[in-house]
Amino acid sequence: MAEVPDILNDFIVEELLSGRGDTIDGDANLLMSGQIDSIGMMRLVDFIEERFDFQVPPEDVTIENLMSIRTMSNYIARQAENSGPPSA
Amino acid sequence: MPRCLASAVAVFGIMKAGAAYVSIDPHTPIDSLWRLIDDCGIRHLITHDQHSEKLGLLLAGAHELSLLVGSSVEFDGSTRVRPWETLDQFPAGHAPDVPSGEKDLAYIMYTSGSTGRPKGIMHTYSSGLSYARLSVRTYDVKPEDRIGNYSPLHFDMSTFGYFAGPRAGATSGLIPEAYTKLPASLSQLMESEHLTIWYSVPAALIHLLVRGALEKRDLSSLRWVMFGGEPFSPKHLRALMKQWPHAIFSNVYGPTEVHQCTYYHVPAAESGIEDDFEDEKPIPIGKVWEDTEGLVVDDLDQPVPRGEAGELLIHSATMMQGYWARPDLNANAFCHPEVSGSSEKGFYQTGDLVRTQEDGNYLFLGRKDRQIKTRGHRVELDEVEAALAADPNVMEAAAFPVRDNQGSRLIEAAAILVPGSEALPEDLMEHLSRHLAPYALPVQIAILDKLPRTATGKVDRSRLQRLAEQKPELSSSRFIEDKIYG
Repeated sequence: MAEVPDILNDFIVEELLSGRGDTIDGDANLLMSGQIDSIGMMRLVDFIEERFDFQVPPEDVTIENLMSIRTMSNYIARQAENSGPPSA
Repeated sequence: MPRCLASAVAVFGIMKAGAAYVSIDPHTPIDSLWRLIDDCGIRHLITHDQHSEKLGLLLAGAHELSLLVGSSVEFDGSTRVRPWETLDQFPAGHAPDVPSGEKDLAYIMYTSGSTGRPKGIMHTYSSGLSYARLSVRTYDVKPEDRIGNYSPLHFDMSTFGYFAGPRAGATSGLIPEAYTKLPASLSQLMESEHLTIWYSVPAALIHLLVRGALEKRDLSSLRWVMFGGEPFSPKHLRALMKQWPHAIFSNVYGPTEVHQCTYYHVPAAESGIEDDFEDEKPIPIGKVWEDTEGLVVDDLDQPVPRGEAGELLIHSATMMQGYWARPDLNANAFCHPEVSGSSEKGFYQTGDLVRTQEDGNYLFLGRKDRQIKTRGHRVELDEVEAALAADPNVMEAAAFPVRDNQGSRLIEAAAILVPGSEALPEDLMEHLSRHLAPYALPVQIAILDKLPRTATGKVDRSRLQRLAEQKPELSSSRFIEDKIYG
């Protein structure tokens, strides 16, 4: 089973960056790179909901939760703790 | 410069020094940056540590730069570097005694050019100040106002926050880039900053509507919502107007060459506009504002009868001086239609097709050429096509717009490879990303054996567009539709 950061990395590189780049540093600020726009971030949220099978409430779509692959992974882990293991 | 306080210090510092600023998108690919710096002979670059990774590379290819302000990293070479912190040692009390007149150059804003060479739009103190003055009057900006300035400095909509705000003595809040990507954080910021005026592209407002957790925010301070840059889809606008019934909504129109030139205050729902929205009738761009004349003309610069489509010509106090070092473009940018009654009076040819409605408001119909707006950014499709065709793997390329459901367009492209090439779409994308700004990159490149052609043998781009729009796969716009209406 792939780790959460790897799953996120693959989606971002393949879907949002159209294959540009390979591995993204877990702490890299995705919001300042200029490569992913707001539409891209919304697709990412959609992907997280689908892949990890939980709803991301609008109020969670924040900088603190989605700034980097690490903060996203932590957020997903917290959601999993609250509602059982993720189905990924 | 990113959206930060230093950007305002830079803008006003440059003008106080009697110089002109050129706003540059920090995400511009390096080759284009070199060309741009060379094109307008930039000697001093003001920046921010956020971009220090790129700076080393930039300096290696831009030898004419003599001073770099805002970097705390030193670089090899002859360029002097001054970190922001060291600027405090200069006396703030008195600006250099530099005479500046209204015809002097104040700023240059670059925009996509169809040949791949960007065009530098020159604005003077007079055109910039006229814009600030008219904006304050049209939107009744007051000293107690708090403006949400969404646009980055290199985007002409930023002049509202940078110039109209200070002109009225209001507070301009420069929205940091990270907030522009995450609507729930953005709405939080709007609430905590008690913003009273908002100005952005429609896409930003649609994201606020869909993912902004608006029902959890108190945005009762918001009194005026201005949007522009591209059409706002009526159903999204209606939903937002229901969300913020206390605010006035205005559609703002104007190419960067004239700042703004028309506005339309969208009537509130109770006055019957609801029916129009049901029909998905587009929102008019309205009427010209003060100190501005508009003409709707045919190809011979003769006025068309009311109700018929024609190109919009604008003569305004807010009009540009011309394009930087491009006499070829300047010869065609302005015309002197007989009907204006003065052969001296230059009208900027917007290239936008409009129709005048019964009520006198202009309705935007489209472009005369292949320029499009995608998420508020202006892109020449010919530039995208030329960049793709320049890839050694590519024999022939076509770029075309694909409608989304937010009133905006996305760019897609198709290419035929040279015989023997096994390049993949991602290889072509890699090439493009080195030559085009991120917003100008196609969302998809299809590699085809042949391109559809018209009877005369030209690439049939509208056929490509139709085929692309029929594709059932999930697009970001579908995603938004589902969230709102699903």
